[in-house]
Amino acid sequence: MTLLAIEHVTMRFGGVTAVDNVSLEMAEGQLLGFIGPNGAGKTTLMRIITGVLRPQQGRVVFRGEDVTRWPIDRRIRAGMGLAQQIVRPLKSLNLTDNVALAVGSHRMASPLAALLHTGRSAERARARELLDLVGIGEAAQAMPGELPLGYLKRLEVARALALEPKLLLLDEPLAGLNQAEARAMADLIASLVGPEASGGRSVLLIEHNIREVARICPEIYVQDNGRRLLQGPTSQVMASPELRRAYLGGEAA
Amino acid sequence: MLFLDLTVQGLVQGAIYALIALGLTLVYGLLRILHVAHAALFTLGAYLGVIVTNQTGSFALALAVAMVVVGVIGVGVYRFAYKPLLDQPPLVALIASIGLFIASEEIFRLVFGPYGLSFTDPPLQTQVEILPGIFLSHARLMVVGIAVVFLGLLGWLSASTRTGIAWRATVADPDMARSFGIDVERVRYLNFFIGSALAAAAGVMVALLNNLVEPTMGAVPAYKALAIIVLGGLGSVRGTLVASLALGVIEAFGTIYIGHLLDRDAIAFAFLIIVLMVRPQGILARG
Amino acid sequence: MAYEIVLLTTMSIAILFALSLNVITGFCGQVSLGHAAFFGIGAYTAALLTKAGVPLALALLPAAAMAGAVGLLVGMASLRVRHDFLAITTMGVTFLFVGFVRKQDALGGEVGISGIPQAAFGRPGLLLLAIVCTVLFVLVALHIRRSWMGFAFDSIADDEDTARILGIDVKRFKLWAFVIGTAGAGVAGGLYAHHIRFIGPDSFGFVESVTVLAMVIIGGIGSIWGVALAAGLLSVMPLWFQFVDDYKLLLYGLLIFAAMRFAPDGIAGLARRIAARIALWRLPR
Ligand SMILES: Nc1ncnc2c1ncn2[C@@H]1O[C@H](COP(=O)(O)OP(=O)(O)OP(=O)(O)O)[C@@H](O)[C@H]1O
Ligand SMILES: [Mg+2]
Repeated sequence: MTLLAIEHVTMRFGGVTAVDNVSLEMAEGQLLGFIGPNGAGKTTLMRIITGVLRPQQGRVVFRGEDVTRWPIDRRIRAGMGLAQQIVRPLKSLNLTDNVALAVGSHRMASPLAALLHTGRSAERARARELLDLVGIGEAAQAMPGELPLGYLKRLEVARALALEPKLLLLDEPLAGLNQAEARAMADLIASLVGPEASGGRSVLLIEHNIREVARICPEIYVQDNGRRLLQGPTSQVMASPELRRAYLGGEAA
Repeated sequence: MLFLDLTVQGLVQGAIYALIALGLTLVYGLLRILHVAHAALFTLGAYLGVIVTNQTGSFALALAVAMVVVGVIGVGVYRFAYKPLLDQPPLVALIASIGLFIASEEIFRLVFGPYGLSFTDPPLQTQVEILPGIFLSHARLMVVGIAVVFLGLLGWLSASTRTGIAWRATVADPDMARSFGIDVERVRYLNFFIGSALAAAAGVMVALLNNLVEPTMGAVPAYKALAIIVLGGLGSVRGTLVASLALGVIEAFGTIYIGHLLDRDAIAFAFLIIVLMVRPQGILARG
Repeated sequence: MAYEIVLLTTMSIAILFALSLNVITGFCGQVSLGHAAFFGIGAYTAALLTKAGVPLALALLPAAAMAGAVGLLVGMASLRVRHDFLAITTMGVTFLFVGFVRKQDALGGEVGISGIPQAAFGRPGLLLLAIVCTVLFVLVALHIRRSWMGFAFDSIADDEDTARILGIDVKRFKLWAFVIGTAGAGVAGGLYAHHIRFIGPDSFGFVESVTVLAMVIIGGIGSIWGVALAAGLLSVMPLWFQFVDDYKLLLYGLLIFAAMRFAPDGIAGLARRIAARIALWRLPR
């Protein structure tokens, strides 16, 4: 079944067309790699999906509903989870509470329900599990300001996972990690998908680490200059001359 | 006739607002501080203007003295009040500034007395007919003249001199400016000097128009000027000018037509709120 | 005894007023420079009702409701602006309130409302009522802190955009903060009207808005005990400073300035730092 459909979406910033008439579909339980050179408009498309940006043209349909005009928080509550490229931790809370807040996000569906609910220990315990899962459990009590980028990138992932999303949107989750850490994170991402994982979750993975993308993703979508360049099974995409051209510019042509 | 008259009055008032608000915008543009104590400098300027005129008989001298002295004191305010607070959240500087403002109103009262001062021989009171049927005193014309001259000077300074370019670079990006070898600290001192001197000029002008200076005369301009720079888009010099004139005219008309519902200050802020609901970034957003 | 009762009532009302702003500015991170307007709405509402014969304890409810309803409106307007724009918009609310009241004959215009009746059982009765209201509000504030609403407020105060990414409906939570905070101010205002027994537009101006914000910031933004302490002290300070009569506002202004200059995180921050010092000093070396 189709989980997410992007239909003819266009986004311009002044003279720059960051996303140009792009359409894309994702099925339930799909892990889709999303690659493209710097400035290809990957993050912009991600922001359109989550509602940070409103496209000038086109629609976004999520779980059968047109969400194009929905605010961000409503889309998140409807089942999206986002780990951003540029990390935005809550600086006044430690890592555990950063994640616990996301674990308990259903408690805050309405202010009244939130007011009537106290007690955070269950959420904190789950938060520590998630921090362990992404490999930064030892920093559970640390404040974000004290930690290097690699930790904060993984905090983003833990926080997105804590939302128990149907659609997990990851924008360069491997950036700032060393080779071993990146591999572990990629394995984790792969394990989150598929019918055997909880509820047939789907993942859209933006990454520059093409090696890991190719290793874990069965299918890849390539964007260049705001346009769709290619989409297909990983082996086909990796073998295509257009991909080389997009990344190497004029040299390979 | 009433229409023209109100417009002219509004523009004169707007010119005064512009002189006050410009210094505030300069400070905000550079440091992101809402500098309420700016109005204390305005009041001090007014006192110096009256006192020096009464002592020496020269209004021009009084204006110059007020601008220079207040300019220097403005630099002192930056050095001793704001500079140590630059790393704190902006609210801290705002509250500190308000504390300073309350204290200085008291200082004026203690030093200059609670009842205010007037010119012994008010200068520039002759009326001239500028348009058929519309009379303005020389004092009012002078206000507009001074505003135009100083603002023109400021425009020229920032567009065509090395100092002006350094200043604009610092506003746009302090770190970048520093890396180009601009002495950011010096730019800030200069900024406070010029902004405070303009506030002093505005104070002297208001003293001239009302022929009265009082310890509390800065209160209303302080808040109005804040409203103006917000209307103008916070930190935008051109926006501030537009907002000052617009507010002067709106108030002039508002007091006549809806004065029975709201007082002058409330009209100004009602305008502010309405504009912000339509354009949350102000009339002319920074950019 | 009478003097102590006046002193304690003054403190109690100020604490309630400051804690109500603390919900908006401290918990939820929304600066308000217009809180005195809601204090005023409560004062006028309660005063008109008790003059019509309603007992004060009952009149406080509509006072809270009126203030909260206007607070909801202002909150909705405030949703459109952020940071410094928000500060100045809320500042405008004070001027609108004062400018409006001034021109309404039904509200006493410039002159205000005098002859406001005493509370039941006179001054001690009022003190008791004030203490009950304040304690209730402290309990509400403590509960909010512990609840998930408090957790949501933390995230909004920290970074609204991130709060949205966590699925938090930022707008609705902000409106709740505004309504709870302004309703609390309405109750404080109703008590105040029966404490002073004369109110006019000038009692609810910008200076009062700033004063209450200063209490919150000097107390340590968001800290319930710090803010209560600061409000209690600052509210009676003008009375204590009587002996320096002529200089009391000067001292007050300088105190606010000095507090920001030397303890920008307020009494609560200062206490934390001292506690940390002591802990360090106790450590075996
Ligand atoms: N808010 C914005 N305002 C103006 N231009 C923008 C904005 N966001 C993105 N752009 C421009 O849109 C284009 C696409 O940017 P985007 O961040 O989506 O690229 P990306 O594929 O994520 O790149 P990277 O791999 O470097 O993260 C770029 O040219 C960028 O400069
Ligand atoms: Mg990107």
